[in-house]
Amino acid sequence: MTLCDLALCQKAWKESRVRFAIMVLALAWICAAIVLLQRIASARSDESMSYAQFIWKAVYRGAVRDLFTILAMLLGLGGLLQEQAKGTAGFTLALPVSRKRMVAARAVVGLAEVAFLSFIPAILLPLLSPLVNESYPLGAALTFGVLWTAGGSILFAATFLLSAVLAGEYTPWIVCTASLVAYMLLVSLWPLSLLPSLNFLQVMNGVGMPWFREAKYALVGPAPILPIAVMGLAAAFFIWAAGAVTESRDFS
Amino acid sequence: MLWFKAWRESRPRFLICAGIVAAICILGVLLEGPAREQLGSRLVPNSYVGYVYRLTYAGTVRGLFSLFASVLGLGGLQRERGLGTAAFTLILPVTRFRLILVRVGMGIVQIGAISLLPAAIIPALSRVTHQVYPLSQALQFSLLWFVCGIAGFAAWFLASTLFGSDFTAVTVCVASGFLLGVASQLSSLGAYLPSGNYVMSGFKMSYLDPQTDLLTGALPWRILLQISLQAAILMALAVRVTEKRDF
Repeated sequence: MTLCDLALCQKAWKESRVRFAIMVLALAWICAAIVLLQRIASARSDESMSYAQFIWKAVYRGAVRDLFTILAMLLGLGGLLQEQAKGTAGFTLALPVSRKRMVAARAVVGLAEVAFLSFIPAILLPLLSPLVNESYPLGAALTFGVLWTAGGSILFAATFLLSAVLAGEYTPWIVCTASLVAYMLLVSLWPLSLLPSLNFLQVMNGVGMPWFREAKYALVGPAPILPIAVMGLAAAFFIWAAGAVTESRDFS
Repeated sequence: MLWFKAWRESRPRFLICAGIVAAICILGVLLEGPAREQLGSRLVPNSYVGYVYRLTYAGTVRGLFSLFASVLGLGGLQRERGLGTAAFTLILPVTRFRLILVRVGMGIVQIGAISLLPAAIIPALSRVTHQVYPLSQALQFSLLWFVCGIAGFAAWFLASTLFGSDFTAVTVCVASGFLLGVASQLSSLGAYLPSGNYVMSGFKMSYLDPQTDLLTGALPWRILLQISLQAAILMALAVRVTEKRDF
């Protein structure tokens, strides 16, 4: 990595750091609230739940996962097409680096931010659980963190690609959200529904996966390398496509 | 002219949002048979009314509508400042109050149009597929959606007057929406700040019969008034901030 790459990464970081900081605070706050107010929520629930079940339903399949998916998409927004609307694309393009490197720097910073967000529950849940006289296994939390990083990367990369194609500031996010809904409906229909691994949101929370025991709400066995690798490849393809689109576009 | 400006600025967003809501409603009704067959009983109850309710009023369409109504609130002078066009708008011989009023008016009209789409599409199209969905139910849900949609619009509208970057405004709104949602579920805050999603769908509310998925009795006028007041306060704050700000 050259000094130039570092400068590009710093630019990408400065552009996204405010939203990223808000996202970190929001995710941390929600995780903390869920753990600390767990007893109240369990008491209000119609069914009796174990602590692991409650955490899984609230965090890995519930509000926290939904928030994470939206935040991962939001991190993908921005780029040269949006800069063009603000009239600053010319300054960025005047930098003595190729467009591919600019795109790569933004992608690296964004993916690092997605990874950081993914591990917030993994860090906080085992750390805060003893405060309510409970425990949450660090290993399972870290594996979920890896799964979230892979799933979040796809969402980030999809919005990243759409931001390179669609000029509007919010249009890529709206289109990505609608596409996600369409994708969810599609993979729930036959014959795709026979392959639950195709639904990456399901892979993220473990439902129907061989490495997840629904009776115990726990992950078993080694980390699922293949789905993680496939999700990583899909994200890499989207980012490569964003680079190709940016390279061929006329920003004048 | 101001109305035309507000329309031109929000047109792509509105058309995309309306198009997506309409498309899901149309496909949901036309593909009802295969969809219910494929999705099975785990998602869809046995009645057609229940299917429409789960898909539209308590499901995907409602989720998208909440997001879209809020997105329509983004923009305004603070965003124009970032684009370098705020001065052109401010030089127009109208007060800032009027500028905001027109934007809010356009947003309300657009939210009204989107919230009425399921009511316009589902009962009419259901006849084509030899099914029945009561128009009165659809219209009542539209009213619930309209009021809650305006509250989301107002919150995001205020955020976009406070924050220069739209991405920051969106992030703050999404995060605070989830925080409030979780807080109201886990604490007694829910009594004062009812969840918009619950109000729109009637989920866990006294005015929805969970056996039939039909709205029964009077609409929750007190809650709707409370939400409208909250929206009005947020909009008044946005007006105040815009009037005071140095652009």
